[in-house]
Amino acid sequence: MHISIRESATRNPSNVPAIRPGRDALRRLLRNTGATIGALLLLALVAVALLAPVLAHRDPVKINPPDGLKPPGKEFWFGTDQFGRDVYSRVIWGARLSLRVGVIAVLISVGGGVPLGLAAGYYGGWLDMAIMRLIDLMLAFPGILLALVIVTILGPGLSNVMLAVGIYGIPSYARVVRGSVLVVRGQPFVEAAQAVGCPTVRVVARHLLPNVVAPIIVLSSLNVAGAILTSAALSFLGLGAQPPTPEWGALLNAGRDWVRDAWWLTTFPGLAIMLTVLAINMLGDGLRDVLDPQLRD
Amino acid sequence: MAQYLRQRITASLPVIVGVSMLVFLMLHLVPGDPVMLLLGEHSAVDKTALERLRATLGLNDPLPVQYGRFVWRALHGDLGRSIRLNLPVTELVIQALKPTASLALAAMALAMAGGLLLGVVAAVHRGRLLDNLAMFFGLIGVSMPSFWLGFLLIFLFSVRLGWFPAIGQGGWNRLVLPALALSLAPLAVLARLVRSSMLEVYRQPYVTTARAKGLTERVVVYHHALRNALVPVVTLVGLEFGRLLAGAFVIETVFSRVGLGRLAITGILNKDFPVVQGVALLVAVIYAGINLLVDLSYAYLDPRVRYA
Repeated sequence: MHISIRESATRNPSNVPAIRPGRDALRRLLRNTGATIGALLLLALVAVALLAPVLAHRDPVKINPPDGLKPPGKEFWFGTDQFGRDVYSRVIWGARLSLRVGVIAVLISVGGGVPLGLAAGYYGGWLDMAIMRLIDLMLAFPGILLALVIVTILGPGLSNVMLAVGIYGIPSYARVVRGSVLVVRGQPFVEAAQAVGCPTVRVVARHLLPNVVAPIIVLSSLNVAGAILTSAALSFLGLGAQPPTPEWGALLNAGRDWVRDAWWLTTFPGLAIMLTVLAINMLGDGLRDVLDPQLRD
Repeated sequence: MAQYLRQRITASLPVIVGVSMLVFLMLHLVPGDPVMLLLGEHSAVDKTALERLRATLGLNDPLPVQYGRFVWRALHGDLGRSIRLNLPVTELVIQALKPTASLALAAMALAMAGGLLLGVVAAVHRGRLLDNLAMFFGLIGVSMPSFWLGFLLIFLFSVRLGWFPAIGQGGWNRLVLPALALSLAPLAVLARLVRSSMLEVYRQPYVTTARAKGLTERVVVYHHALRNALVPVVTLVGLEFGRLLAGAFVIETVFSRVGLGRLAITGILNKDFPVVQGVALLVAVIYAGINLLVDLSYAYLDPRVRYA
């Protein structure tokens, strides 16, 4: 029996396995042990943050001097600080703040970096050069220094720290997005869209952006961890959350004079930061392997 | 090589100019009157005195003129005076640079030694227990806040075991704990890079040739693979050294060490802007210098770079 190619291709579409990139990526992610552990740990931490009013049975800021500096035990699981505040409740409420700070800072970075990268990559020329020199300038301040300079300008405080950490993350997005756009820009489907008269906004939003989403997701997942660490460091230096706000970095700062006598004041907030960053890094590594193996070291 | 050096120095100049502009503008970007900011606590002065001071400081001049003066003075080693301490910023910054640089160098040495060892061990035992352990250690290293590690080290080695002093500076024994705390993150990053770089080199034909010649595995690893795997590592060492300088800001607070970090943080909290400007400018210029050295060493190690 003779069957034409066209006929065979359309005869029984239900037998042909559908290509679902999202589901395929999820399946590969679930096969990655590290990513699965990281995702579960992160889910647990998010649940802790959301259920803070239920899980923390004491007021995190209420002072009770008679209970001051009690070591961990049945009554106070993580002990108390010098003002008699329950460290467990403070750490649990701290999860809300620290996770929120990390996510908002990354959203600021994405909001600033992605349009810059898209504009630089798509338009090229003097705009590309101007944007990339600005990025070079931001990268000229190593590590936490750029965030420190921004906090100096804006003034200390948690909102300003979020903004500073967000701005500090912009260069990485601008560079990655620009690089991806430069690759995609020359593809026939983009040239075809331009040739049929698609407006620039539509070309960028419908044809370029979807093709640079994977590296943005990977970078964001890893950058949330970095943002949490940087924000905690700035709060630890006294430039972020101010007492009695139960932010993890600020808790470490408050406990630093008690390392000899009350180890629990620094141990539990530090452990919380490390577990959160570890979970996000494990998930981020897995996402990178699945979505964008080229970003691997 | 001389032409490459010229090209790289020329490329670094705009960045340094941009950095100096941003640092100069810092004072003008802060909301409020720069004179009031510079006066800080002693701001209860009458309007005439304020105007006189503004004229003396040259703040009535157009911004480009003020910037030109700022650069000219900075080039002559004058970074202004600290508002809080009433001392020349250059003097303060140079005094603080030595302890910070020694801490960053000690941490870099530890990170390089540990990172190379861990990366090589992981690559040689790829897919086995040692590899998994080394990479898990690397993951912990990048996830652990350095300031928290500092507290753990103080608690263990100072409070419990009494091996090292907890705080202060002077002498190598006061450098060990802060350097260890500062080195973990770059150590982990280096270990991961050395491992992937070694695995990449393992696939190269010259490694197969070395093995086919009957050379021992030790010679293949250290003489043929590691030497070539180190080329990309050099770039990372430069970047990480810059981060270490900035990371020292946090560790100095943990270990109550005097240095650039303490100077900058105290400056930020006390709104001592000339001090913050001085530290930011110095660190950015040092970082640009390190990047230049890294590029030159890269060109020296890999001739393809300088002829590209």
